[in-house]
Amino acid sequence: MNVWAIAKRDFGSYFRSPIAYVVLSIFLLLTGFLFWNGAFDTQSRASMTALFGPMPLILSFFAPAITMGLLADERGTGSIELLTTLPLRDWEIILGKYLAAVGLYTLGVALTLPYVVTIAKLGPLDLGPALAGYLGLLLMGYVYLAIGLMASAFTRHQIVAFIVGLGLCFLFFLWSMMIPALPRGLKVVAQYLAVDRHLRQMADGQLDPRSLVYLLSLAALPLVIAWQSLESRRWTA
Amino acid sequence: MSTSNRGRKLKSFTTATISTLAIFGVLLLLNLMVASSKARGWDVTEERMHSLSPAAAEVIRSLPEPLTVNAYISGDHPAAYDEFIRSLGILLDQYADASHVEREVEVLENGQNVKKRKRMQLVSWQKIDPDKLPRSKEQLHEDWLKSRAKALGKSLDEVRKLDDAGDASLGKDPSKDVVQRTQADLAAEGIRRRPAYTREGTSISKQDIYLTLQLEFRGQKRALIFEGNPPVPEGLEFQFTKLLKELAFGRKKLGITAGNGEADPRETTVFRQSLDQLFEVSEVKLGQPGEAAKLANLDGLIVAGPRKPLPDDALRAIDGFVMRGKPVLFLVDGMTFEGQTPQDAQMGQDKPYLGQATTHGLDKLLEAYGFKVDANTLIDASHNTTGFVVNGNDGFPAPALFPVLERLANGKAEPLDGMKSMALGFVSSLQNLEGKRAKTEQLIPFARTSGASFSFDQGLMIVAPGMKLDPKAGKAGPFVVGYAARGTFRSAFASPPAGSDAMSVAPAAGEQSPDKTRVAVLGDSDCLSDLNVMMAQQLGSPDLVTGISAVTNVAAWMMEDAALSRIRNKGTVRKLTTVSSGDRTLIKFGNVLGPPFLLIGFGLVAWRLRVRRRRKLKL
Repeated sequence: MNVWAIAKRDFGSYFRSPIAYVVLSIFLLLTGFLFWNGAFDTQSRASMTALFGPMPLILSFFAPAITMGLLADERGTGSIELLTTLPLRDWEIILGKYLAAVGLYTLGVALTLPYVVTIAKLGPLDLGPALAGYLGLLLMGYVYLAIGLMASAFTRHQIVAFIVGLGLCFLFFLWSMMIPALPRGLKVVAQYLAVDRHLRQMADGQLDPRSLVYLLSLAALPLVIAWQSLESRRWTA
Repeated sequence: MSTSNRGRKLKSFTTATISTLAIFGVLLLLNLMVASSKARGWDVTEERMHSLSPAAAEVIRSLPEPLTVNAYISGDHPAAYDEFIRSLGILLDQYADASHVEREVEVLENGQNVKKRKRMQLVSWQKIDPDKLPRSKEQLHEDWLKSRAKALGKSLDEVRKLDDAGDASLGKDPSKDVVQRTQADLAAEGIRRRPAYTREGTSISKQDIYLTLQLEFRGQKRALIFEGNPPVPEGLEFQFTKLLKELAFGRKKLGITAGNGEADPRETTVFRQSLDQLFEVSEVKLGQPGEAAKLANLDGLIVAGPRKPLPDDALRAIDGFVMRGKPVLFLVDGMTFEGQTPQDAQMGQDKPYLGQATTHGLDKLLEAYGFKVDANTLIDASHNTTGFVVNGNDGFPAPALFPVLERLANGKAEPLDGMKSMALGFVSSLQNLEGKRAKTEQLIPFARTSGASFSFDQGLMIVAPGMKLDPKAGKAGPFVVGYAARGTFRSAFASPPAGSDAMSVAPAAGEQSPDKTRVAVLGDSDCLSDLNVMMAQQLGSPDLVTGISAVTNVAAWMMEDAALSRIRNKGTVRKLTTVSSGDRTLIKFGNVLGPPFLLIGFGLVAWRLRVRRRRKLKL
């Protein structure tokens, strides 16, 4: 219940300021522009792959932008002290704030659904890979949001949180490009760790339990670290 | 700091560390468990793109005896080949899994043959790294001699003499082992290293590797060599099933007519290659002496768009073929176009081209089988693709006029199973003359134009590139342009001719074909031209190529050999409907700007409401 109250409060606060509108509008303009240019290229295929391709890069910027203020702002303004004195557990604060970011991101992704409807009207779209791709897109976004939240948990400056979050998310984006340079033995592990590879596989219509477990685990790890960062006041103060 | 406070902090730190490590451990363990499991996940594609096709599974389960597959793959291959090799392994596992059947076998029990049902696996495979095999028996023998010389503390010459004398104290010579394979044995069976080129930055490196599948069935061996650097997994299922099918069941024989104004074989190479993948294809020049007799050895025939009247002998030969229950696919153009040449097009001269009714002489035959090809041309300004006009062996690009067919049996039924779109250049409509057939067991209008199409059926038609045709001037669609029928057909001839070589194959008077005879008709033959492929590549319009695939599929349907077509059609291009550039801009900007504008609009309304609410507040 506490988690829900925090999530609701933070989700609402996105919309009480221009943040949500600005972030989501830029996100939609960028994805829309890239997708529709790709969709109407010479091949003109009835597919959503043009949406999923550039997403790892786009999300590297947008996920930290959504999460940068979640904890850093609370620390910066000192309101974190008030929050931690409330009858709330630290993990409830982290989870509540994370769900608020997840809600905003999910709304952003949901606003791209008209693309699916339009493509399905224009050609025989295979809905399976399209929906699996959307699931992959959501999960990948949730991973990046968790990383962004983790970055936000360690600092009191939003800009620092954004840059650290961006750097970490960008590492995931670069990861796949580094794989060919790795020795053979490491490649299998490196491929498993590459987030965009899982997204590609899902967008291709292969719903692998390995991808689901990996992406959910990867989203959980930064949240645990963020939780411990908040908890650290108990042994550092 | 008090001790209790320090203790509390330490406890907090320890609890946090342990709980964090525990969560990390659980997640790591979960990932390791899932990663090492054999679960393949779910294939959510409509056509089960990542799973074995039911058609392939059907072929495998119909194998009369077990088949073994040896995958000869170099362990030290370039990393770029990993993905392909992984896909190959997954596919072979799927084949092996799908090949479990229960068969009735005869076993000897108490001195008597007893029939028993037994579960068996018809396909098994193993991966072999040929680089680890000895180069040859000679080399193996030499290495063995050296190892024996070392072990016995003797010179190589001494050991060689002992070996020549057949001294048993040397032990067993591995080169005499018949099971032991060497690289030289593999080379004799066509399994050799191939160059694998990989690109790293600006440099290209070459490495010779083994990458070949060898199928073994009833002592016969066939190799499947993969091209490409690296090869792509697409089409792997088709290639493998095709080879397996050929090895186990052989190929059916299909004839294509020639010599009566049909397209030059040199101009329809892609179509012929497409047919060659499925059948043993040969040319039949009907009307020429001795040619009609060739029909007796064929399993099916394609009448490939004759533009000269077929002689009576040829017609009788075809009729006789049908009356023996053999399938025939008629590709018939209702109209033939002449005029513009590629040179004209290159020089920018938009000459009109003239269309007139084709004199193929097939009307009598087709009518007897219950079909009529109209002497018209269908145009569709709404559902179309940019294409070109075939003019004999030449052609030129034309504006978007060619109808993209609305119905291909919904892409889910015979004979165009799995196909999504197909464009036909100046196709003619067909009529079904139901009462003419003795019995219709199945009639499939497999290709139909949209309601927006219209037909021109003037005796002489003039069309110029870029010219806008007025739909009101023609008859409105939809039109059926392809029929596939199964049933009993009546002969078109009342009596056989005398003294002709068609006699041997010509039907008796009033004869009927057996039940389940298959006849298909398509109102176009231009779609077979290589120019379609060339233009499709240039224009990025795969619809034109699918015309070739469609005819191949119909041929496979009539030959009752459609399994491979169904596999090949997996993943055929799903194309967007052609929209005008204005509509395209509208769709693009509507989608790009629509959602953000809606969001901002919602934000403005919410903001106004909030401001209004605040104004009403009184302290």
